[in-house]
Amino acid sequence: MSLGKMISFMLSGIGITFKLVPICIITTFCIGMILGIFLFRRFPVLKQVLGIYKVVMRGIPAMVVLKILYYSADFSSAFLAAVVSLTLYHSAYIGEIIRGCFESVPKGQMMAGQSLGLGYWKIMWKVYIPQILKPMIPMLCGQYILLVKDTTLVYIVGVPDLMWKGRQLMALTFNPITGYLLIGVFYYILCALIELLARTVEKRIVKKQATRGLSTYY
Amino acid sequence: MEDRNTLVEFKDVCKTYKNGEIVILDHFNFDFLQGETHVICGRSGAGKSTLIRCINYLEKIDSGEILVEGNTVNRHTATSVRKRIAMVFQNFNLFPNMTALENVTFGPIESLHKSKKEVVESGKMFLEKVGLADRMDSKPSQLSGGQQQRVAIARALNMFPDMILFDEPTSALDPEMVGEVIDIMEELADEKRSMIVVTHEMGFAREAAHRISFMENGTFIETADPNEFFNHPKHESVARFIRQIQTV
Repeated sequence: MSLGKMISFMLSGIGITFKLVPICIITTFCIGMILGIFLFRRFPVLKQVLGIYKVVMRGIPAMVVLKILYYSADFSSAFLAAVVSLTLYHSAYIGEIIRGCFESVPKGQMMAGQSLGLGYWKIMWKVYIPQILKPMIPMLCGQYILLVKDTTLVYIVGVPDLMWKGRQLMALTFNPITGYLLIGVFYYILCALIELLARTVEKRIVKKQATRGLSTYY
Repeated sequence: MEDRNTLVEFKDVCKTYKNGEIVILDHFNFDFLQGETHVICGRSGAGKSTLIRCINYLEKIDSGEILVEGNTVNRHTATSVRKRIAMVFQNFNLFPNMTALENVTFGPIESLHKSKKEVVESGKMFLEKVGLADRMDSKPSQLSGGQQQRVAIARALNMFPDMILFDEPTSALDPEMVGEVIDIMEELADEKRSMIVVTHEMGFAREAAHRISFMENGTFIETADPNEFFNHPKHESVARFIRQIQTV
């Protein structure tokens, strides 16, 4: 099999990966943001519950989470199982990153907001979130790169992604070195794209905040 | 002194830290009056800052009652009290993501729901008052400490508060910047605004205060007008404090 044919065969699986990655980025960001806010706020009972979730997710491998969920819950498709388990797994990390960002904002900011008669959520939205956007991006970028790499696991529950196609290719050609090298190159490009995207977003935030505050009134 | 109305009333207030190990307020009773500049001094850790933070519920009290304009301060009334009582902090606590003018207009727009036009207008007026008309579009990071604190004072003024609490407003400033902040505070005192000022600036206390209190052991052990306070202190520890301050 020629190299061109091998590449085009593998690219037939890239659609799934390109669907899986953005969906997971969006779901983990949303859940991670909520998680981060609640971890930061320290609501009495919720704090313990979320703490357990965080410890469990960070303590077991992504593959195990995926397998347990796939076999225990009745998902309509393997793709859905992959999305749910990757979301659950990586949200724990994203939540912790966002909590850390909130903690890094000086306590005086909350007091200043409160002393103006503002409620908690308004202070979070208008004071805290604009301040964490910039420091948050590089950390999230690192986590999303790990997420992209973890999507290689979903072939074990039968999602025909890039990795799945790569392994099929190896079975056909009996050439694991070329197969894995190709997979490596594909994922490298994907991760480089994520990094590029993060850098662009970061630059835009810096530019926007430099010219005018994110909360502008006039 | 003419009769003034009580603005903030402490009734038998107790406040402790670490499960009662550290007593901050010990059955504290006091009336802060309208139109009065009240300076609180005392040694570090005496609980001066905690005392004024209790007024706008940034700190919770253990027992007793605090009344602001006759209304009890508690969890439910905290927001409405904070809308009427502004605060200036030791570390300025400006919002770094906003310009000076945005800092000054943020509170009235978001919390008092006033019109932007009106708030921006009054905000510019107050920034002018504190001498920062030309720095309205600067971020806090582009301002000196003294300038930041002046923005913080303008932010407090733009809430059109019934009272302003100053929590050691000059302690974090370089010596050469203390004067510019003190000047503005003296101006505010002349305007007969109600102010409670926790400070170590005895010059300000002497010049601008109507009454000065010395805090020790969870209460005001002495309250007097500046002349009495500095020249004829009744308590030995107050006299010692004044001697120490003056020798510095």
